[in-house]
Amino acid sequence: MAEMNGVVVVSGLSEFEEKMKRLRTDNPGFEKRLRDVIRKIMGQARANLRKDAATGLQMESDPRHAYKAVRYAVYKRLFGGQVNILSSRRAGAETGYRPARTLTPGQRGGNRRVRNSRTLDKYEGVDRGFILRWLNNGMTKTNTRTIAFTENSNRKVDKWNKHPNTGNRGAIQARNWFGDASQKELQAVAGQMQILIDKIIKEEFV
Amino acid sequence: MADVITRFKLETSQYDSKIRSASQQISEYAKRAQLAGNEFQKFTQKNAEAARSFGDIETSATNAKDRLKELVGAYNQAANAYNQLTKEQQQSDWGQALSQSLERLKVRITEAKNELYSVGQAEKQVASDGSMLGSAMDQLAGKFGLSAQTATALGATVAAVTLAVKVSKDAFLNYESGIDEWGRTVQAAESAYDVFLKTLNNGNWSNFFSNLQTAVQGARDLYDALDRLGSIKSNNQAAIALLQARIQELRLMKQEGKDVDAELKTAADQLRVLQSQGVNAGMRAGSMQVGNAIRNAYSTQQGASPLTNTMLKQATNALITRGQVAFDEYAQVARRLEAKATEERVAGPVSEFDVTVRKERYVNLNKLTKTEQQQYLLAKAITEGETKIAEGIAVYAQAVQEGASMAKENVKNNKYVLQGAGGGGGTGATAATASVIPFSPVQGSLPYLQNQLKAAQTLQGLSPNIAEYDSWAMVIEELTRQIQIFKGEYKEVIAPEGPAAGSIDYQIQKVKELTEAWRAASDDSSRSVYASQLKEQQAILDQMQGKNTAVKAAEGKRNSVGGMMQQTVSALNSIAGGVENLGITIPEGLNKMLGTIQAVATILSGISALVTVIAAIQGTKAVPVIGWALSTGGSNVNGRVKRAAIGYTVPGNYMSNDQVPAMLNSGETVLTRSQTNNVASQLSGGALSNLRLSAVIEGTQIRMVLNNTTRQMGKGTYVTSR
Repeated sequence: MAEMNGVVVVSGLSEFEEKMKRLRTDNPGFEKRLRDVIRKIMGQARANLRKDAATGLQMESDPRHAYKAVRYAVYKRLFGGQVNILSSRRAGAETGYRPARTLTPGQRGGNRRVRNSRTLDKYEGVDRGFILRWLNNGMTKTNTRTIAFTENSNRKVDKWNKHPNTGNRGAIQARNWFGDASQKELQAVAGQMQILIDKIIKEEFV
Repeated sequence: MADVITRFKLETSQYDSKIRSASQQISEYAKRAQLAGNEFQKFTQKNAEAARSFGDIETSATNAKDRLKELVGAYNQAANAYNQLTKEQQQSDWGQALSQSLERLKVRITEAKNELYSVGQAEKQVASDGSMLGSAMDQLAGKFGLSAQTATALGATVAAVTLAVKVSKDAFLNYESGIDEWGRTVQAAESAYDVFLKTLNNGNWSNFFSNLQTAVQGARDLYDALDRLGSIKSNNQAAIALLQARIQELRLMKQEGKDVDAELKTAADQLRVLQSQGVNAGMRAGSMQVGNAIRNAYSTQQGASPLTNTMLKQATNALITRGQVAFDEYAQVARRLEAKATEERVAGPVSEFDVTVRKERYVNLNKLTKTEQQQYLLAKAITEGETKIAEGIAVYAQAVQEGASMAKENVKNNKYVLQGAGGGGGTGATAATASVIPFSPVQGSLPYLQNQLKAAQTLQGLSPNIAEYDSWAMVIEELTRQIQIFKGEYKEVIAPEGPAAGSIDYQIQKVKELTEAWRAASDDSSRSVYASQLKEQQAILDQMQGKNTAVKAAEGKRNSVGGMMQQTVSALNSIAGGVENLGITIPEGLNKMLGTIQAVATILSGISALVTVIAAIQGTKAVPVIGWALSTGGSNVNGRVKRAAIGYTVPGNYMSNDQVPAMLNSGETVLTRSQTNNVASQLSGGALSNLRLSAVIEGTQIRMVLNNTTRQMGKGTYVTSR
């Protein structure tokens, strides 16, 4: 813009317009940067929640690293994400003992584990969230009242002294940890996000 | 079932709509500006001539400093304009001519800088010689338009260097004043950007420019206050330590039985004065910082009515004196009134995961009375600006603590003096006169001159004869003059002379003389001669007055809203552009801030361009579609018709009887007065009232949304949980 001897020349508006376009959320560059920021802060939230899980859940020991089951996701279509302890997918390498399945000399049978053994091994490493959800949600007092029969079992059941598998399994107090902890973490990282986005806008505009 | 998933969503719909709206506004303005630009195209040739002559622009300055300042200002303005041109525009005749002018201006600026540099070297030589009024000083005095006495009163060397440094940017950061100026600039820029962001968040653009100016001024004042605090603290250190040591010494002397009460009292008083300077400066800086923080946060809010000084003082006072209690009270007020004004509205579904309708809570200020609105906005500003306010309170608190320890020390000293009063005197009289530290003002300072004046007045009263009385009177007159100069109240009394030849006053006088001569003429021949002369001179006078009116109108335009914005822009531009254009090396750490300033300046210059166009059109001084014929002085007394191919608005107040003839060609249009107004309003198109929208450009709106997110997190608004 300049003004000389009453003549006015207007300029700089197209540049201004370009800058405005760069700041729109449908601009691929800006959109990517926003998602990057969201991914970054969700990662921070996950890390903090993992640390919190170790203490917040009051686990006496966690040899199978259940705390790692906190996960996050960033949405593709919306600007946002989530943290969860669902863990429907594999969340890291499997841990735990796996016996060698070689047959000893003279042993009959195939290379197959019984169903119970597979079940016992299953959640560890495959769905760590199971432990977290279990502790988070709690369980009521449980008695195993059913008598465990197998098809080929001919063992006589004493009606007064039940099957050895029956009995009181106790209860777990619900921690209700994840809801409050995750919201608190997201609040904390939202502040970080505000700073980061402010920075991006400055960089893009300037 | 307890929560096992927590979702987070960044709401950007408001942000997008505001960005789109701003883009549309800008496009619309661009179209209008283009329309206006098309109308100006017929003056391309004239533009090129104007641009070509721009490089040889005359300065009105009478000294090197002002000349350089004007040249730099002109260069910045033209360089900004040139840089913003498209390539086509740069390659046009006009663009090339402007480029050549810029080159010429660069050369002239370099010459002016060299001139100033030579002045600086001369001044350094003076300083090293220890002579304040040497020949180089006279040279300086001439260059800066200062009289030698004025320069001496202002502290000669420092003043001269300061004046040079302000424009000689190469040395910008090598001198104390340069650093101060830079500090003020950064402080002001931070404040400006702060207001800018707050305004973006709150969407209240109605007072943006006045807020910006207030904030910038406030920040500069604050910097000065903080700088003074720092200066006092560092400069008084040695004096305070010496006095404290002296007091200790005097106490010991008193313990030995010497009579040193008077000296002890004097030293204690002097110590109190020195310490109270720091305390007062600290309290002032602290309260100013708190006030600035409150004002900036308050005035940028949507629906904020003007904040009175009384309210600001009350709030500042409450926060400083009552601390957290006051913060809590303000927070309570904000919560109470927010609850009163909060309403719910439907804002659409939450996300693809939830089909329930989201209800949004928002504050409807119209539910509050005007007083409550003000209370709410003030309380909100204080609550949200707590961090910045706390910084000011910390400065204030430190000053108060120093004041308390000072008072304690003072009480102790006084007590010590009183304990010994009337007793235990002894033989200390001779020892006590030894070395009380002299506490007289610095030579050449204002208090020094005032002391001198008092002494001179006393001595004048004691004069034994008239000659000595008169000589003292001369001294008193000179001292009074110097004090007035110091205070900036002195005005040189110039003997009235006749108006300068060529000025309007001169021409008016000439016409008057001729009129009187015409009346006094006895015969018709001499009367006709006078009449013809009178006609000619009257015509010249009319022409001059017409020009003068145009100049005044232009000045008036600059002082109008558009002008004010332009001043703001040029102030910010001079921060960002002026420094770089002169080749100054800016410290790395400050580059970021500079970038921010440039961003703000770019935004503002975009707005200002439009405002200038509209202001020019509304002024109708150069609307090219309307070709007017002009008779001299707005009347047709001479029957001459002025050619007005470049367009003109008929001056004067001749609204009937068609007194002004017009020369027109085919295709040209004459519009009536009402149509002219319509064209002007059509071109301006209410742009000024919509200006607030156009400036909503930056995505900091996201910041607002994020604020909402932060605030409403846990209420299920943006972060939902199952």
